[in-house]
Amino acid sequence: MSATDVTRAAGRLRDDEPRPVELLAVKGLNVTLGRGHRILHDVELNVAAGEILGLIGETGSGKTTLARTVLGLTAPVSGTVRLNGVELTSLRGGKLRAFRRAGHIQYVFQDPLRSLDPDLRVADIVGEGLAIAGVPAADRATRVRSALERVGLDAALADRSPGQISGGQRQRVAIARAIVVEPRLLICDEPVSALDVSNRNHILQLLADLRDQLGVGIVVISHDLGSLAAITDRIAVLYQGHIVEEGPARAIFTAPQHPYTQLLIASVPTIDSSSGIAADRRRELREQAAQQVGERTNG
Amino acid sequence: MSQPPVEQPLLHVDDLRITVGAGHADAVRAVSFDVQKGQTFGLVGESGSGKTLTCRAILGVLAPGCAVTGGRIDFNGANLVTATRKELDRVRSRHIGAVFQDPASYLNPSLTIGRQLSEVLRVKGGLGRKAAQVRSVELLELVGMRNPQRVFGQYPHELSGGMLQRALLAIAVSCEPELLIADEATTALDVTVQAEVIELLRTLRRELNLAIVFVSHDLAVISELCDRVAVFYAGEIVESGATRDVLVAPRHRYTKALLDVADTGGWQHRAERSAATRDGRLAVIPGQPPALGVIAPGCAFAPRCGAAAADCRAGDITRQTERDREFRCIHPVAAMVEAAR
Amino acid sequence: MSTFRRAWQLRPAKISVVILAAIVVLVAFGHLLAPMDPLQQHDGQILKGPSAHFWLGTDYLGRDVLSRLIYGSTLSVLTALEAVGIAFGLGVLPGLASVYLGRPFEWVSQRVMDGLMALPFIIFAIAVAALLGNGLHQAMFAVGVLMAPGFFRITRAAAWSFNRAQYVEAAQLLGASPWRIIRKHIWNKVLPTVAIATANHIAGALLIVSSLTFLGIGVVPPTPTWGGLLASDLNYLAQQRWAPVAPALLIMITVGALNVFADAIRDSSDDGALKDATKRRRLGESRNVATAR
Repeated sequence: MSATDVTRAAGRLRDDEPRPVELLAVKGLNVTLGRGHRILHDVELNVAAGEILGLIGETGSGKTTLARTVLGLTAPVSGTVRLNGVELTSLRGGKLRAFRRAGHIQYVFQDPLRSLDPDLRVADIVGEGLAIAGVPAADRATRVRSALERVGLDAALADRSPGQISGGQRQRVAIARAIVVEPRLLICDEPVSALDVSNRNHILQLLADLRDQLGVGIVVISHDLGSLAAITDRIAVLYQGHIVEEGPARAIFTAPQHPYTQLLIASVPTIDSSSGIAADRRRELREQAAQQVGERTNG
Repeated sequence: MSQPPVEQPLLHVDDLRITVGAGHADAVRAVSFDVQKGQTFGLVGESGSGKTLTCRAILGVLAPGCAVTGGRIDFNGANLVTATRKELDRVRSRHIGAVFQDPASYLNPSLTIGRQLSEVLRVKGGLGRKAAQVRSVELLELVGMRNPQRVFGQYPHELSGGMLQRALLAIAVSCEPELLIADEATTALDVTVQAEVIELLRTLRRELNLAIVFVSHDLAVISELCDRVAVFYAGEIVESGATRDVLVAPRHRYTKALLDVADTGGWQHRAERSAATRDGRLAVIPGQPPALGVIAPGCAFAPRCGAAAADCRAGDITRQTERDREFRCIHPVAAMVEAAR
Repeated sequence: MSTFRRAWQLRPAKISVVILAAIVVLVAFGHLLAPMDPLQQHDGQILKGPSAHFWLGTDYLGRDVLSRLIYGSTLSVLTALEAVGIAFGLGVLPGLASVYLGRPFEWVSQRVMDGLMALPFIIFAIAVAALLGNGLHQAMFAVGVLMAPGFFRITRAAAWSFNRAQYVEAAQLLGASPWRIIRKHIWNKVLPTVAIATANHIAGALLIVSSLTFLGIGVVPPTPTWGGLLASDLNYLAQQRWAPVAPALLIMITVGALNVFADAIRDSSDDGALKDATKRRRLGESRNVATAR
């Protein structure tokens, strides 16, 4: 496929189109796990092609469940998940597998170590999606090579196993595996939490480049606001299974509305000189916000 | 003429050397720093930089295969490196406490929190059963548990990550140590919980006059909590001094690179910037830290440093001292005129 | 596969494989290696001790003990393998399938296996003998069927634990069919566990064969078997005190080698608890211990 075909297929908008192409539309999603424990309440989420949506959620917020439901690994109690108009929650068995083989949505796991089969070589891991889709070996090799190049990995790594490469390289392999099938939507679960600080920006920049060059829509799930601030266009805040706030990244970070968002923003440590708020004030804010959050969600 | 007596530092690490593995690779070289009573001292660096090994050496819990091969660690005057097992046992818990990264794995899942806390108080603190119970509840309240009596009877799996870390802090300070070692204690916690634990550490320091050695890779957390900081790279301390000085006006190039990459000071502004222009790539540090034990002549950071000159790769890089701080860089970042403090 | 490679580096593994290879040679080429016909009775050579002509002496009918031992290997080992083969076939495949073929099959297969485990061995063996006749093969068939639940559970447990792995989920997200997942991701990880179970079960089956033939079940004399030789030797203990040593030793060494081999695989697998520091050190260099960060 030529570069233009790829971008067109990925639904990237041209400069003269002001309206973003809607890629993922989640509406009224309710998910229950185990013994009737409700994880997600009426979740609504939209992702457009060529944009990065940051999903902020702490432990117990349901962010992983949300990702898994969109991917079809968990079935919702009610609600719809549409990708380019196709309803995903009704796909089962063979149809679901066929949808996955086409590679529309891909997922980058949080732990680069556990999501790569330790007994396979990098080349086989990255090319697995293509092999499943029936792409002949020669084409596979070419596409794997270009995917590795795109994520900034040396081609020599293709023959190594996951245990022989560094954490940052493993995460790139995971991303390469996800993009080699040319997805329209990429969901990344804590893509940089397991990495060293100096490696994080490499991966974050890579994601931003994928958005800019391939027009891929990306959902980045994280609790690290610093990483999200770097690359996201829009932010959605998930708290105890509810989307409590959503909007452009800049607005969320500089003028949060919901008390929980305010609490989050106020809790992020900053290097003294450029933070406007003194530690005491921040403590006050935190206490206020915690109180309000407790009232609101219990009310 | 008479000067106030220079107080002996609580912890004095001098020229510490630690080797790792069968090949005796130098993982920590010539590390020196002092921690005064009641002071918080941050050790910051990436994984493999030697900060965790240094902490483990202080506690005497180096993994098999690691050994201190040089230098001293003086705690209240006594050298911990040459201490016997008995002496170390005496010092641990009663004088030095510790908390680590993953709280759940440091608690026995089949015993209640209260039982584990009382155990330390009885074994190390010499309290009787009843007294230990009472004190345990007091400690749980001190670390900010909302319902200390209830937590006393709960099992680890019933508590959240933040509460577990609080419980571990309670255990760590139970025998009123003078020093607390916190190795990546907030790394695995959620942002809001992390803020609370940092607040708790500040409280503990205030109320117990606790000195804290805080290890982290997160510069912002160090900035919030620590009075002084030492930056580790490839087993050495490349810069140390007052936190405010080091993080606002770094001299060593690596410290500057870390600050550029983390950009935590300006993250809110980063959001504005990135939304507005969408150009301007994120700062990265090219290359990788040197592999364990590989020691090239000259500065360890030179291969990745944008300003490395020929003499950076030649012989020994001497430590430079500037007022209150030290750094190992012969072409440091230009000293900035300190803004009004 | 790396597990087997690692296991090979341990000295006990090498020794046990050599022993087992020798047994295999005995079984396969015994009829070529035996110096004499095991059934031939030599007049006047009754209960003689080891000599240049008869390396292990003769038995109560003047037959060469060495030849009888060698021929006996074939029957003993092959019937043991027969039993394990049945157990393997009835246990491993359903075990794998129960993880992937959905709830109904899972439930049914588990209940069948539970039922088999509940059957007392002796009763079942007698029932089989009554139905199919009193022979060694029938007895080993019964043994095989009753061993199957063990294989089933071990394989199922192993497959189950790997099924939860993230890389399996990653493959599912790429659209892989359950068969492909088993083939590419699960099988080579389950293999060490299955190999351990197989080795242990062969050892067990061998002991059962020896016990059955010792009791005289299913073997028509004068066919030589290890257990049968042991039994007849015990009858003539007064004349040849050392005679039972040979078959007993053979049984012991084979069973021992199998168990040591199984241990070596277990210790080299990633799940094996490496308690022995020496083993740990020797394996230290070849294990891919990846650091998390």
